[in-house]
Amino acid sequence: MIPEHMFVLGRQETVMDVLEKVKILASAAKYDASCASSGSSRKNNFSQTGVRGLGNASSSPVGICHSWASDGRCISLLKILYSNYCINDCVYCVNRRSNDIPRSSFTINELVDLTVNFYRRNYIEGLFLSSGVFHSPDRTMEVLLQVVKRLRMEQHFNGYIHLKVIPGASRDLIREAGSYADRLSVNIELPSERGLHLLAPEKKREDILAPMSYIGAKIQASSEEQRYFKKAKAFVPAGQSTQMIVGASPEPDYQILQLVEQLYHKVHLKRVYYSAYVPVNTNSLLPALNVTPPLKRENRLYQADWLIRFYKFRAAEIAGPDQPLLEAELDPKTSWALRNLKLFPVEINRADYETLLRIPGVGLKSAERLISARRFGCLTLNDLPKLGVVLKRARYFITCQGNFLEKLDNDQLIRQRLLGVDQNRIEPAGFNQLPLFGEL
Amino acid sequence: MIRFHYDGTFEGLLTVIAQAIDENTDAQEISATELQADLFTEVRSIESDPNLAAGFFERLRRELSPELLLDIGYCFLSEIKGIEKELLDYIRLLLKEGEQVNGNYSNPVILNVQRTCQKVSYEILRMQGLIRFRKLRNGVYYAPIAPEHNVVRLLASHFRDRFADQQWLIHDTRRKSGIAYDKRQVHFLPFMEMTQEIDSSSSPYSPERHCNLWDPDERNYQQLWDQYFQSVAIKERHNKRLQRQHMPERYWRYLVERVVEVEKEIP
Repeated sequence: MIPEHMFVLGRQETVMDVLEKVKILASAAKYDASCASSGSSRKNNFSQTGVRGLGNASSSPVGICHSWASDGRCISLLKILYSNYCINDCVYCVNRRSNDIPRSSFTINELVDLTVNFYRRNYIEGLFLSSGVFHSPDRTMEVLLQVVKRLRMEQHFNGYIHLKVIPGASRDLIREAGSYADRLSVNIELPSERGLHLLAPEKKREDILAPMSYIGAKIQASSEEQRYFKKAKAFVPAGQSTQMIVGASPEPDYQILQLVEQLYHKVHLKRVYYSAYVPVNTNSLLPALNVTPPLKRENRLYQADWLIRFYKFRAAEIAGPDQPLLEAELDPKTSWALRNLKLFPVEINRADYETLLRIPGVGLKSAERLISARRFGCLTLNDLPKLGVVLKRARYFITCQGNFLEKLDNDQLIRQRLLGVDQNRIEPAGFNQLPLFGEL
Repeated sequence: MIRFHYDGTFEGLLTVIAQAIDENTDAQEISATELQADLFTEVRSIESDPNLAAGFFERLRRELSPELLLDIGYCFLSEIKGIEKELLDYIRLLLKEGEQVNGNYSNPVILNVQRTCQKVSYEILRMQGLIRFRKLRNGVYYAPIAPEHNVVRLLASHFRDRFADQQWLIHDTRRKSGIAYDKRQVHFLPFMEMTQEIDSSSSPYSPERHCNLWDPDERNYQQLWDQYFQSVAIKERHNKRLQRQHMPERYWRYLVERVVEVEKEIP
């Protein structure tokens, strides 16, 4: 089924021109949500190597976005598949074996040339390379590794490289990949073993979790080494990430968040990406083709993810068996606060950093500013918006020098108010002009 | 109240600020554009004094941390109307109260300076992403830009580190200045005119367009990038508003990809 020449390394293919390949293989890669180019330390190190190479991956701690596509998502890396031929038949995947779609593969030369020329024109931060599994996992992984090695060693390319680990690839290949890539990721795909078994029958949960913990252990070991030997070689300096498809299988949010918490704390993942399932296939196990992707749910999961990573929330506080799904109309922090009104109000002039972080409408930056500014004197209500506090939400949960902004000790009332404020915002003007005349 | 007029240079501004602080005078306005005197305000035209400016800068260096000096530089380069007077108030406050006062975000002067710095750093980050080089026949990579703030010099170190092995040129077409890198160091070019030919070749990719200044492969890569840009978008998640929010229209002009609606042509 798969043409043999696809496996011949380096052979020039002219059957299909590169433009057509970009069209097919970028479009085949677009459902992967990850795009980050942050966190690496790779430099263009002339003094150490003697070679003035191309690029660096460490310029900005937050990564750089190079464009935004018409879906509003940032484009940072050349996110592309090496090939969309695949031996697997995962039910949710557009590239599944049984789908009748145009297929294509790059050659290694083509992909190296494309990456370098895009990079030199400042279109991209680097390459995010993945592939359908053609032939076998090891064979596929080997070809991906070839691309990365050619970039690093022949082109002296120091730009960001995110490499997808093909489930089932051998440890040796993963280890080698980790010494060239800035980030590795193994996609967990679905939140539960049962989901995976149903929708991706050829993928084994073990083939996903084992490389994940292997990579996690290698990262830990290499950062330990680097503490003692400065010259020690970094293993995936930007860490590992994973992606999970949301809405293709029936797991509730609390189960997802529990899994995510473990991934962060036990395997030390840098990021988990959530991808609202876009129906691309017809199957009785999947949502119908006309179902719109659950974007709101994806958004709430990202907010909950932030609470776990930066706001020191535990997954069980955000959702549990008694409230299995995140609320659609309120963000998870506000939702938590309403369930825990007994912990409020918080006095903005005295509370410590951790407590401030738990107030709806107070973010990481504004909490820091509050702490910094109140050393110069007691803060008044007027100061709060200037420091970035969103009073629309915070007003029900704080006191300022002992005074309430709005005292409501009933969570239902607060909820109504919060939702009401939101509704007013989208209501067209005109209505608001009446009181002006009313005052006459 | 006095309105100060100066020559628009950083040196000139330091001269004004040094004098105003020394004489303890309040400024109503500091501006580089012509000021009309009226009955109630005095307009004072200040000439740049290199010695005074250098001495004052030395004092700032002694008393303030490098981060704060950089903030002051960012504010000046923001070219936001009225920022000069804000800087006078800010520096006066820092010198009087010591630099730890900078943490007091509830002070409007400090808050305003912080916000201005944020705007400038954000535009630098945007430029680092949105700059598009075109490879010219002579091998030089050329990028036209038209930023809100005068950030072109602040881009030098980023692009020097990144494209250490290629010659490049970044051209601020709005201020007619630029920076150029010759594989050894970055040079600031205070005057750079835009030719008609370069200008018309600098708009987003179009199938018909070809420019004689370009490297023979240039058009090919522009087309590939435009194709990638169109193909990577998920139609079911179409959200032009979000796209525009991240990438305001004023930046589209010098991109290579077509941000305007072309989804209908390219599936």
